[in-house]
Amino acid sequence: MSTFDLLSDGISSFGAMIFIGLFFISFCFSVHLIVTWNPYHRPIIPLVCSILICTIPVTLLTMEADGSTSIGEMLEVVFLLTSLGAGMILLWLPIILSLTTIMMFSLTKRTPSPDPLIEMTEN
Amino acid sequence: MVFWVNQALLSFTLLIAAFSMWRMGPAFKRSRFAGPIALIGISGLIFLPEQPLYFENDYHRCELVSFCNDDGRESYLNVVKWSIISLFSSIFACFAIIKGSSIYSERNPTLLASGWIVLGFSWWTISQSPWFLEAYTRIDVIFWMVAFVLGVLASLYLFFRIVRFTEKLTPKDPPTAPLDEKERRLVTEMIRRNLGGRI
Repeated sequence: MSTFDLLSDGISSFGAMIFIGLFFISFCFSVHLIVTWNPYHRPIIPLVCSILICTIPVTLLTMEADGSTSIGEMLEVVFLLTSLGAGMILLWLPIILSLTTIMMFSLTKRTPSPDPLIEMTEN
Repeated sequence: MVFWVNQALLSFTLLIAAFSMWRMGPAFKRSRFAGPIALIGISGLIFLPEQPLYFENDYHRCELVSFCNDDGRESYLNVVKWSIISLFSSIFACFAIIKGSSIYSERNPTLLASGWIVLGFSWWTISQSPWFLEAYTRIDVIFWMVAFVLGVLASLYLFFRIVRFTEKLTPKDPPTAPLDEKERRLVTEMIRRNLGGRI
């Protein structure tokens, strides 16, 4: 039995990672549409699509030879895919933070303009 | 006892829900629940239940699932704790630097310095996370990161098309009828009172 390792456990091919990105955004989008439910936004079609994108692959991954599946196994696969997705986003953190640090450095060095309106029109 | 995998998934879902509610803006009443829900989600991620014992129902699941043993739980908890510390410290640092610099108000050197100290701390936490070092020294992980971004972009494009399709299905409103005499006089009076012009 191997340990839980975001870098080497489970799915690790290029195409599978594209799928994980698709699954992760669909999962977040479906949660977003449910908790911010507003009938005037007509969320039925996007919600059904995002739920289908999430559930169909998970059902196929957990399906046994006799066609049966269980909620527990589906939750475990969803946990694995969301954890891998969140882990992939976290792996971008040093790159994002280095860009943010450069921006913060320029903000720190910046001196206030005597007239921000004129500066804005000139730019 | 709740299986730790289920609790972690529920807590992560609550975090996404809290973020979505928070981004709804002040005009919606649901945004006030974002803070408490986010706190519940973070607490649920940090205070994970113990691994099931051999006489508990969920024990047999850990025999089948590779990440569900003691080491897996500890490893997951370690990543979550370090990530939360790194993320929160970097967000707080950026907020302090923006508030302390002279963008919106007078420069506040104390706030600015504390922001840079916290930003340095956040870089230190990243340098202490062994999986960042391991990830950036492996070419296959770099490829996975790029592939993941491609998946994210593909899903965003897909949902963009779905939303466009939904909007096209929305029936268009009929042309608005012109104002009748009574409405015209009312609007004229409103404009006259507000602008004071001679209409």
